[in-house]
Amino acid sequence: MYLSVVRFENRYSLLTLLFLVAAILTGCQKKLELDPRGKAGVEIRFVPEMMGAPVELGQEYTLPSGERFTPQVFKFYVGSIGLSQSQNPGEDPDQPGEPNHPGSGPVTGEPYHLIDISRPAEQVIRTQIQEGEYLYLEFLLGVDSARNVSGVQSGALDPLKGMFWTWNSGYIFAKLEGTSPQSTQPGNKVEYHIGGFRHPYNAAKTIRLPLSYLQPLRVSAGQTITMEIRVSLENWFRGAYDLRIADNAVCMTPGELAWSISQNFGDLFNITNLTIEE
Amino acid sequence: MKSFWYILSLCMFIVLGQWGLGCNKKDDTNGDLQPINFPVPEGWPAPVYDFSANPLTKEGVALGKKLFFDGRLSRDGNFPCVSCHQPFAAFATYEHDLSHGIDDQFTTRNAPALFNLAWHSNFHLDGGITHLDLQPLAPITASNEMGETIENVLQKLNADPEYQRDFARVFGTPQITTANMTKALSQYMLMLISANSKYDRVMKGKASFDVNEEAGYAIFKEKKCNTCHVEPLFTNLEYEYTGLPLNPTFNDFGRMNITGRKEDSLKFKVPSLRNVALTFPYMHDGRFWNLEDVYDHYNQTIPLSPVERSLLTEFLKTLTDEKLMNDPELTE
Repeated sequence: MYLSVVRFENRYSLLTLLFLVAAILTGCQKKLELDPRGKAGVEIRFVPEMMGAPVELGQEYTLPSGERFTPQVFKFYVGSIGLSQSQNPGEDPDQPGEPNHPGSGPVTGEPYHLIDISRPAEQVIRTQIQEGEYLYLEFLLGVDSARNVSGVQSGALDPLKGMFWTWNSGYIFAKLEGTSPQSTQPGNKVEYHIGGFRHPYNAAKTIRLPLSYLQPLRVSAGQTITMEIRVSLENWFRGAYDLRIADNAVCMTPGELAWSISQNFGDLFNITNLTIEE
Repeated sequence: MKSFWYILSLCMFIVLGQWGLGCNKKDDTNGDLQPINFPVPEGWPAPVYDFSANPLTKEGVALGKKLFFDGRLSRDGNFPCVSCHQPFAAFATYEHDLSHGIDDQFTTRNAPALFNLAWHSNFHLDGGITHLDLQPLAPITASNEMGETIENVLQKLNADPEYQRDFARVFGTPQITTANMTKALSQYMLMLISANSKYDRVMKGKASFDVNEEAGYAIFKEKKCNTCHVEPLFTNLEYEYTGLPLNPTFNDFGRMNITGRKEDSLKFKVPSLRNVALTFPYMHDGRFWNLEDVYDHYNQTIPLSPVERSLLTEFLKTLTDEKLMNDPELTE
């Protein structure tokens, strides 16, 4: 069909070609559903640190407990990112551990992101929110229970990412691996695979970080909030649950231990730098 | 005049182009697919599988079957799904307590027979798997079964132009992903329906039991075997403790491995009694070779006389479904 039109008249061939290009370009252009009016950009950059310095994989650190630890793998899921206007922590009473967003909720892009410390380019999340005044940044560290039981997911949640337990369906929400002389495991291995969506050991954790201590943060349409979130890896081992490598160097299943470790995750994150750009 | 016709045809062309060159390629390729309406046998409960998320087609089922029989889903090419789920054994492993996996390894449980899966919401003998689509990922990645990674399987399949064509046809994209590979496998497994045994024909009034089978059916009900083996699926799909002691070789606590609850210790999923004549050896680890051993085990709680045992066995044989084993669309 194209050919016959092109042959239709030689002197029009250039015009025809132009039309063809125009037709194809417009025909297959995805419609951008974002209405730019009223929307502000959000850019979140995770900065993994250990004892106050950027984490170097393969380097040995001394933890606050005095135990030594060499991290090799650190990955975690971040989902349902939103800014919240409410003073009340958002947690769905019917589903403990599930976030409940009174604020703006996630707007664009993939609902889940896999942050992998060995891939710095993927430590940045960009999304959009409705303009307005906000008090908190909220996100789910983990994967909501519905997505754990509704078949095979794609994108960041594709089981081939190695963050899925195939024999006990469910996502590993956060994974920390390495070695430690305090580990009694073969090869001094340390492996924490934290997940589990079943009650009462739902290890998905809503993280809620204040944007400003003084007054609500005003974000106008067209602006972009850029945040750096420090991930203090040493806090994986301390806080609500005192995790000693000598006692528990391995956690590979959902359950009480995984849940207990997840109780430390609230203190992993801090907003260290927040700017609003026009 | 010439240019008028020229402009007109250009306009027509652009209109046609916009209409035909849409980005939604799915519609173009799905046109020639033959949809299958999942056949629910008369009087059965509604299936739990969500067919709206994975509409069955003849082509999808055929693609799933091809994958089920393809050794490339395993690391060394020798362990397709069908190596442990053999059609002639109602898709269990014939005459094996444990099945063989990669590198001369044994599995740790008796391979379950595969049929009527659309009625199950959890899989494995401990119910650890929450969706049929997720099920194939477990044997594929288990180091003592198919020993492969999902990534490698997808790489091998994506390198095969024939598979690319098949997937393009069924799912509208030649890109083979975890999601569409497992959906294709589900389409095939869902069609393994066992509802055409002599028992089923009797229930429909199209055949009748002989005196022994009839007496065996009466014993089946009278001895309350149907508390757990509920008709018509012949399983209540629950996890039960059968009184079997822990096998110290495996330390397999069954359902408790998943829930972490003490009360689930040594509970295993109730298997269907359909095709039971073909699925020996029995129990979660295949420790009983024949039905006599099973009757002996239950003798404490459900004592049966030798005659009752024989009659019950005659009834159980009527649950064998030749059609499931011999349907060329599903087994060859």
